[in-house]
Amino acid sequence: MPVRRFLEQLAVVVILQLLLTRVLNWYQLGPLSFFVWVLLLGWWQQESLSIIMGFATGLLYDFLVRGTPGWSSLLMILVAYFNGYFPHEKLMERVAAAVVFGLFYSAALAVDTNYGLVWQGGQVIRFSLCFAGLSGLLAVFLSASGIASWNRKNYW
Amino acid sequence: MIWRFRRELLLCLLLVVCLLILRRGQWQNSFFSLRGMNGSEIHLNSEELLRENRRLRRLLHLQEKKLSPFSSVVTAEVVKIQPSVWPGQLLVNKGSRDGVKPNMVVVSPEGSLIGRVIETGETTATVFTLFHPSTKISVMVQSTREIGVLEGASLPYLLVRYLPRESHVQPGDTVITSGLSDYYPKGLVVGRIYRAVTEKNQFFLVAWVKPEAGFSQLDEVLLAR
Repeated sequence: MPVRRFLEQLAVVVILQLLLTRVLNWYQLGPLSFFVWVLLLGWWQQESLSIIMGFATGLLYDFLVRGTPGWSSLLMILVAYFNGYFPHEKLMERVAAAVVFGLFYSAALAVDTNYGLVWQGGQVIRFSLCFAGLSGLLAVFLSASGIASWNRKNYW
Repeated sequence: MIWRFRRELLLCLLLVVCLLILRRGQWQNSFFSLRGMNGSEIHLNSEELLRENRRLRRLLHLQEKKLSPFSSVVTAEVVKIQPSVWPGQLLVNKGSRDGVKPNMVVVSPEGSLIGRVIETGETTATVFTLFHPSTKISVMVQSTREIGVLEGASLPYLLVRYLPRESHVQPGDTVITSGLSDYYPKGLVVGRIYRAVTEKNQFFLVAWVKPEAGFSQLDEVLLAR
């Protein structure tokens, strides 16, 4: 992927994340644009880059929300890796991938590596379902919208 | 050949890095390192000795009651608190030589939760209190049995997040440890609800908790496992 396009995407993702957390924070359940971007990179045949960016954005997210350093990174690189093997040609396959990985990621966030399970079971399930649904919607919307053609734009 | 497995290699490499970061942990808190402190420089006058005697008797009484969830208890003196108001970190004068190990629970002489041992030296141990920014403990409101996550860094109170939105918690309700966190047994008193708010457009209820342990009068503590 050309560096310029990569930097553009990174800027869009960071701005989107700020918008999601500051402006569109609906019931504290805004989808995580870093997570969605990692999925999109995998769907755009950039699997290795998606793993690296999963690590970097996960670390950044841990830093931003003062989470346990390394935990989001670990989850993101696992998501990025297995996303590469998940079928994603059709729209429904992408929906399924986003929901499955969203469930995994958000449920695992309820575990703090220092303290164990810190949320109650019912809350974990409700939160995971909402997070997975919203992240899935955003991922599918972005992949189906003009961003795909923007991604194919030839700079060089 | 190697290029073919680049993703797997990348995954393994980054997993190792993540695990190292997780294991190292708390790097954002390294600014507050208290290593090298010596706890022996305490000068006492007779009034102090009398007061200490009373406190130690109270501790002894508590130890005799066995602090039921714990198998071993070590009494220690607090030799440094940081910062001096609503401390996030303590240094106590017992270390690995006295049987203190990382992740031991720290409780006040009255039996309420203070924090957890993070690091031990030979003769001292560093404790992160409930006020420490990295604190996250699964807690339960005793009256409603609802579980939330207690977080530090919301001075002068502690913050309990992720309580159900429809919760009926009231100011004054006691908050105890839920037993879901790895290091804290169930039932240790953490504090009392000061205020509970359900904000518009929020999925969970947020409650502020006043800690039960008197953080301004920390002289001796119990380290328990």
